Amino acid sequence: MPADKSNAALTEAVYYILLSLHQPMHGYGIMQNVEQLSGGRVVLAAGTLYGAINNLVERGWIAALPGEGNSRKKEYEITDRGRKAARAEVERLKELVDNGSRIMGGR
Amino acid sequence: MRYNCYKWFSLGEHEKEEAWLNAMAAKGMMLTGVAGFKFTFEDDNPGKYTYRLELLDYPPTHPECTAYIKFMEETGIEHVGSVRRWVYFRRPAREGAFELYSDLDSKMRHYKRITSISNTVTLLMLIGFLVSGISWSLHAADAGWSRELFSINDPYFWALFYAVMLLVIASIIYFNVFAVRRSLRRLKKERKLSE
Repeated sequence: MPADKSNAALTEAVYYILLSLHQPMHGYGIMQNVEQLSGGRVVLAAGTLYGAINNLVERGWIAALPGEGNSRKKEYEITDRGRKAARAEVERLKELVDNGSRIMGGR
Repeated sequence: MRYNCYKWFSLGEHEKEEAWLNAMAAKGMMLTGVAGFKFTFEDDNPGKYTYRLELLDYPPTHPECTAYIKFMEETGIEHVGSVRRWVYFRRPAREGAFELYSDLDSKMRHYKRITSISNTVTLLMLIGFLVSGISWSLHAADAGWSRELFSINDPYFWALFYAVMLLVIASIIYFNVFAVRRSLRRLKKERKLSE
C-alpha cells in the first residue's frame, strides 16, 4: 500500500499520530500526547495505535529512530512524506470547515 | 491466597469470558495465570485490574506477536498469559477504561479472525462427521440396522460416537460464533457512516 492516495481522508488516529510525531516519541508518549491535544476527546487504545504505527511505517510516513538495542522503548518520528500527507489533510479539513461555516454560518 | 478454577469457554465466547474475569476481579480475585482450561486467581484489592482478551494472528511466541506484546507492556498493560493464540491482558483500573481497540476497523479485524477460525474448525468437524457417519451407516446397512449397532461392543460404535460428538461440538461453536458474526455485521453498517 505504499502509494499515497492523495484525496483519501486520514483517520483521526492517524492524523493525531502524525501531528504528535513532529517530535520523537514512543508509543505511550503518543497516547498521552493525543489525549492531551484533543482535550481528552481522543483516547487511542494500544492495539489500535500499534496497527496504525505499523501501517504508517510501511507507508514511509513515519520512521523508527535507531534505538540502543531491545531494552529501550522504540521511538518514532515523522518523515518528509508524512509531513506532506499531514499538510494535505489540514488543507482538506480546512475545506470541510470553510464549507460548513459558509453554509451553516455561525449556527 | 491462590485458587485454581477449571472452566471451558467456546470459541465466540471471549466477551463472556472477559466479563467473568472482570466480575472475579470486582470481587477481589485477580487472574494471574492461564493454562488450557485452568485459571489461576490471587487475592487482591477488589476492582484493581481490568481484563481483556485478544486473539492474535499467530501464536504468542511468533516474532510479530512478541513485538506486539512488548509494545502493549510499554503502554502499561500487563500480559497475564496465553492459551494457543489467545492472550490475556490486564491494566490497573485506576488508569481509566481499558480497551484494546479504539477504532472500528481493528474491532472488525478481530471479529473476522474469530469467524474465520470458526469456519475452518466447523468445516473440519463436519468433514469428520461425514466420514465417520458414512462409514457407520455403511456398516449399519450391512448389519441390517439391528439394535446391537448402538451397543458399545459393536466394532463401529466409536465411529457413531465420534460422528455425534463432532456434530454436537461443531453446532455449539457455530451457535456461539453466531453472536460474533452479528457484532461484525453491526460494525460494518456503522463503518459506512463513520470510522
